[in-house]
Amino acid sequence: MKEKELAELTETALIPAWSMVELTHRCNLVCSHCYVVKDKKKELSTKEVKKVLDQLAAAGNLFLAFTGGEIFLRKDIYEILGYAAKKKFVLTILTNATLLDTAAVKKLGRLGVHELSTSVYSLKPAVHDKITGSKGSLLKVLKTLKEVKKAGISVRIKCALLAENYSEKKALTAFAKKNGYKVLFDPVIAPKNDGSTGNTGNKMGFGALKKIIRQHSGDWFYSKKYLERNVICSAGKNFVAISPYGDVLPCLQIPVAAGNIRKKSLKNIWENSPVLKKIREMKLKDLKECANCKNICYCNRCPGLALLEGGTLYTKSASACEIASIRAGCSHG
Amino acid sequence: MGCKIAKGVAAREIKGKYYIVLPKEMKLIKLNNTGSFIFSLLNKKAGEKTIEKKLSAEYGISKEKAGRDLALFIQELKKAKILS
Repeated sequence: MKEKELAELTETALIPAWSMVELTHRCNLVCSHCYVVKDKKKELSTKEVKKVLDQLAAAGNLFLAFTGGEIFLRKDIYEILGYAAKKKFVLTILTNATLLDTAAVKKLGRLGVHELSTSVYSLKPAVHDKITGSKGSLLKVLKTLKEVKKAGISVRIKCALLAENYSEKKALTAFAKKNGYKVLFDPVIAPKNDGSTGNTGNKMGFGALKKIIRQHSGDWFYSKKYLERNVICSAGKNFVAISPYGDVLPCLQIPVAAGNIRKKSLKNIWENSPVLKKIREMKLKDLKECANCKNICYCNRCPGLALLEGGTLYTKSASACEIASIRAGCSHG
Repeated sequence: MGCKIAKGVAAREIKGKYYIVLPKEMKLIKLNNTGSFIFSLLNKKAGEKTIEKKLSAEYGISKEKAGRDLALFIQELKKAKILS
């Protein structure tokens, strides 16, 4: 796989090879840690979404993910997926998978959807359903995932680790392995997109976080060269996100609009937005609180989280600081 | 010629080169200049004769050689399941 080469080339050349398009913020579940802030603005129409896809393809976008909210609440979802298939993207869909029946899954297979990514928080219905706020949601998801796999679509389980489910990480890992699913855990609960923290009440305590991080056998030491290069990740360089209302964002985690697709073309926004220009020019020295931190080499700070937690892209991120201090502690024995 | 880009295959021209993704195999293939030249024509649904002619003109080679090279390239693309 030449993905690293493609990532480096597109990052240098500022080509949005990876994208996420939020099709709606509406959802049929009420997950306790959800970061989405619902808005009363008008969602992009079918025609507008197709125009976005045309512009993404023209800009060199290859890897496209549709997300929400719950994308299957859109009545035009299959028309949109069909159009994306015609435009030859590598297509991923993020869905809670509770609205899909057998026929719908088969249709997704025929459309050539590459991957379906969904959340499974626990293998215990009482735990999962409590987090999603919907009784019966776990059983529905697990049944659907089997059909998704059968339809030839890759399955990825995503799991936010919270106080009530972090102890099930091993069980979920084994479950995913047994069924041929990919699995991704996230110990960080981002505040809501308006910076409010009403959704973070169930996050793991320090002790639990420490336990989880210690289970990981990876090497967390980042060189200064790596840190300098990754002050800002791929956001706004080879990654772009579009909100359901047409806002062009450097990343879903950085809810700062660089422009709106209803007013300007993606090309124009991508090439001329002062917001994107500023983000692309971020340097390690700009992070006054972080540049000389003793734990900087153990930190994979997310600028989006820093923005949501600290108010600017340049402040420290409390969750990153917490994780970096645990990693440094582990590394120093 | 009767070949077209296979279902599920994604391809984009980035900085003059074609990058092709085979999602099922999780493979990313980068074509060289000549490959990208041919693939851009295939992408526009150009026929074998047209591609041969353009290849011959672009690289200053005989039509016969262009035809042989094209046939080999198409065979490789089919083998890699990029063309069906």
